Amino acid sequence: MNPLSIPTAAPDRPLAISLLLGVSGWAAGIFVLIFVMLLFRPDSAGQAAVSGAVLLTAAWGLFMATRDGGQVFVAQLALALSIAGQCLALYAMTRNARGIAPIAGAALVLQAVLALAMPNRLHRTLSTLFATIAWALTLRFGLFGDPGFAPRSETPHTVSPAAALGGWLLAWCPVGAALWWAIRNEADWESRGWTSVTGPIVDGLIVGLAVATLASQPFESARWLGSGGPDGGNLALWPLLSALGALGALAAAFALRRPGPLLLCAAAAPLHLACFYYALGTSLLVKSLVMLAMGVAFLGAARLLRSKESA
Amino acid sequence: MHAFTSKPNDRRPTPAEWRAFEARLLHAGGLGSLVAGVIFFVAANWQAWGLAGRFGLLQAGLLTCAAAALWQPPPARTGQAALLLATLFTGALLALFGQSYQTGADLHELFLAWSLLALPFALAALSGAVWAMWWVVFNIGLALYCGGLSHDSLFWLIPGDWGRDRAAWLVLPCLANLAGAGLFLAIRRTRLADAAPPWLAHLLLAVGLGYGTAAALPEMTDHGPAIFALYTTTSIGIAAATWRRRQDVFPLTALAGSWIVISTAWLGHAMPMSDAGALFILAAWLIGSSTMAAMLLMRCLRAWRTPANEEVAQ
Repeated sequence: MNPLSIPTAAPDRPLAISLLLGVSGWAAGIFVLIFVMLLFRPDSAGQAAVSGAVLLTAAWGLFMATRDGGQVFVAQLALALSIAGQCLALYAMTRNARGIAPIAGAALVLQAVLALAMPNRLHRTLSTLFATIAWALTLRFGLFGDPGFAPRSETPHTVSPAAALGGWLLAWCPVGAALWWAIRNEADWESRGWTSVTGPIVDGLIVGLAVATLASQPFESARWLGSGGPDGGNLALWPLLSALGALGALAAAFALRRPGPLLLCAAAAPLHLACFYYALGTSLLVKSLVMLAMGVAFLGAARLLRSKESA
Repeated sequence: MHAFTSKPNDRRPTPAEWRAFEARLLHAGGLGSLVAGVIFFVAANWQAWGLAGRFGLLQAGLLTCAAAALWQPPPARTGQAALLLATLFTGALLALFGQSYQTGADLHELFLAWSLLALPFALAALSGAVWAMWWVVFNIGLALYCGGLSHDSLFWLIPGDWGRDRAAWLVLPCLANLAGAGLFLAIRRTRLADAAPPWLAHLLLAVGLGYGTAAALPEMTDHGPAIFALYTTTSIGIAAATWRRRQDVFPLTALAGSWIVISTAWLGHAMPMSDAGALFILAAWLIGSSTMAAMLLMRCLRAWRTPANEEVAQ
């Protein structure tokens, strides 16, 4: 039997019910994590690794037992155990790590493995979403360093426009390419019986491209949250690119007929626009000119499309 | 069929559907970018204009929007977009008036006056987007009035400095939003159905239940039993009405989420959180309650499934 053809739970579940299950499972997972830590006190990396592996194995077994989606209770229990297990496993993997990049890298590996291994639709979507966030953080902090962990005088942290663009493209072009591949080969992966794996992973990639690009935005662009002033660096470029990413994700959701992700993508684009307004390093006048130019270009393209349609 | 509406695991979009989707996406993106560009431009040059210039600019904008809406009245898209902008200009004018002449009005008064003055635009626009904008303004006014959030608070909805007595007032925005959701559901059965998209009713229901949930949490108010009883009665009413209509499971889903939060909070309140057993019980309760809710909701979804209901649910 093809291991990728295992049926997984409830593809027709509405977004609201999936959110209810996902958020409850996550909250339960945090309680399970604290429960395990209070009970077994896994202080060392080895103890945490064993506890995490036991919880993840138990979760996988429970998911396998209910892979037809009929036993929601078992799936929820498995999700909670998995989340607690993931936290412990990540702690074990990164106990001696310094900086965000290695932690994010470990999280990326963990989530990628879980997205493939856990035979549950919701889990695969969540793992893929977290993997895209981890991927963005790994690249962001791997390329440009950790700006918040050293005195500012020692680390003048200005990102050049070329580097910012390169970093963003490096982070999100592979995600876009994966979605492009999924759209082009949808019939192929359906005929091979991979839908149960590729379907939720594609959902996670779509939501990731729409919202997780926020993780690519450096902390300097969020100085308005606290103290500190603008220190240049053309940081406004990032949310603008993120808004374009959300529009791309919207198109992918439409192409693959995914209503839930489509709604999330439509909500993400204005969110990125709000971030663009507050991003430091670029004057408001330049931002307004960029938006006006984009508006004219978009409307012109829409008019062109409609005139072609009527012709 | 609306180009943004789709069904899972259905056929691939046809070239014609793609073109319609792309045109709509570009049109919406273009309008949004232009509006944002104008707002950014005004904000960038705000200090450079004198008082007369500022009033002149905003009043000219409001008049232009009103003229555009009269030229191409709703349901034409131009008229709807003009009334959406007119709603924004109304708020900007009110803010400028308050800033320039130091009226002494509280911030909640600004937002509530804004919602009152913009109500004709929302009524005339016959548009879900304009109504959504109106409800955002109205809800911020209510949140400021009832919650006492300071005007410089970053996140309007985080009840950081809500006192216990103020929390009792959370019932007011709760009931206002729920009434709004009911009203839009009723409008959907009339010829004005286009002005009341299902997502708007869902949004208002979720916001209303969010306020109700916050009000029913432990130690939020000195009037706990009364508020709890009122919210319970309201929840039962919503559940019964949804059950009678047998159309959309979203209200039951939102209710389930609300009561899972409330029951978990009360359980946590009743137990010592340093005890490992209490954490285990909380985890078990969350898993059990969400499972039961999901099973019942999926059963309702399958039993009520019709093509028309599918579109509402998505």
